[in-house]
Amino acid sequence: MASDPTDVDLILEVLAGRVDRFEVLVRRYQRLVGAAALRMGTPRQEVDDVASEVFYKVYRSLKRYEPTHAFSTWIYRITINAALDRKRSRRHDALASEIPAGLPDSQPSPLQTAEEKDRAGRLQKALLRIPGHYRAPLVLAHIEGLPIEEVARVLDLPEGTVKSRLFRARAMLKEIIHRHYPDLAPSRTLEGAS
Amino acid sequence: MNEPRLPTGEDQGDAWVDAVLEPLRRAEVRCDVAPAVMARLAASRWPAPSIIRRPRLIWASCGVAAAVALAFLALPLVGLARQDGLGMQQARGIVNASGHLARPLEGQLRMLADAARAAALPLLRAMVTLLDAAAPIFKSAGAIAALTGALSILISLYVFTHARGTAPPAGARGGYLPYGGMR
Repeated sequence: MASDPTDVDLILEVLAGRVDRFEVLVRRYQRLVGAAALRMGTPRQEVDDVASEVFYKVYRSLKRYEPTHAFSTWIYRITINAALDRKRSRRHDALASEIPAGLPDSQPSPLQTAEEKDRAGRLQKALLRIPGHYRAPLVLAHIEGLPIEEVARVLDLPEGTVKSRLFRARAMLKEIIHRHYPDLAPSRTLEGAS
Repeated sequence: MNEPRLPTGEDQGDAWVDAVLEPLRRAEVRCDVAPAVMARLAASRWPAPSIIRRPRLIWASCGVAAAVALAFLALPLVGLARQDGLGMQQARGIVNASGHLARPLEGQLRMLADAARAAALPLLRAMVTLLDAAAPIFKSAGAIAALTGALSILISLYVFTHARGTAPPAGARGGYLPYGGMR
């Protein structure tokens, strides 16, 4: 059975003129882009617009992609910048309450789903209180699960800067949770574990 | 938005933040933009990001067009040079005199030219980078300039042909004389 083409294979095909192959790349990364945009504070109803814009930018600058780093790193960078730019151009804070955070993977009861969505929505609001340049490393490291060196590459920052921003972002999140959303704080066992 | 005050306490560590953000990590996001993106690409008719760099062809053709325009502008000078009038003789005299003056200073002038070249090269490189970055703006400005130029030529042509049609015939009686006199 033929294996799936790699990102670089697909990019080379697109660059050779097979524009239709770009759709495979879009399908492969659209959830990642949508999730990153949402977690960076883009309102749910605008996530598709941001994702479209991101892929359009990716397509236009595809020849500038350097395969020394993963395609996902590059696409994360474009997504984070697009989400922050959108945030700068429009003040979304007022819309934060409209953000449902999607559905969990498992199949919980409707009540659990509603609670989960409410919790995720309030967490999203809490995250939005953190300035973008602190929120970005927090989202990438603690939600997207990227290692520090990858976060540094995505944000084009030295690892030391990423670490210090993460430190400050964690402290801000703790302060926000304690002050505004105390019920979102994890149980004492978890807190004690830190 | 009120930026939160940064607590002075210790870092809360990965585990606490991981636990807090767990619901967001588990949340699945539905995003299906592939049809919209492909439709947009098809509608925008953007050329495929081909390895053959079309912008370079555009720049080269612009350069050729500029050279042709310069040659066109230089034609009257060539004509003047061929007629070898008083102006040309004077200009030639100035050039010859400058040559005589420059000959003793040749070494210094060469050094000056080398220094200028050394200083200009990084500047030129920076300018090329800047041009590359600002290419869309320059392209738009170039298109506007070309359009304005073409419009100007058309207006000139119209005015010229119209003036030829309505101008009094040369040597006709009753016309105006040079310097304001009346025939």
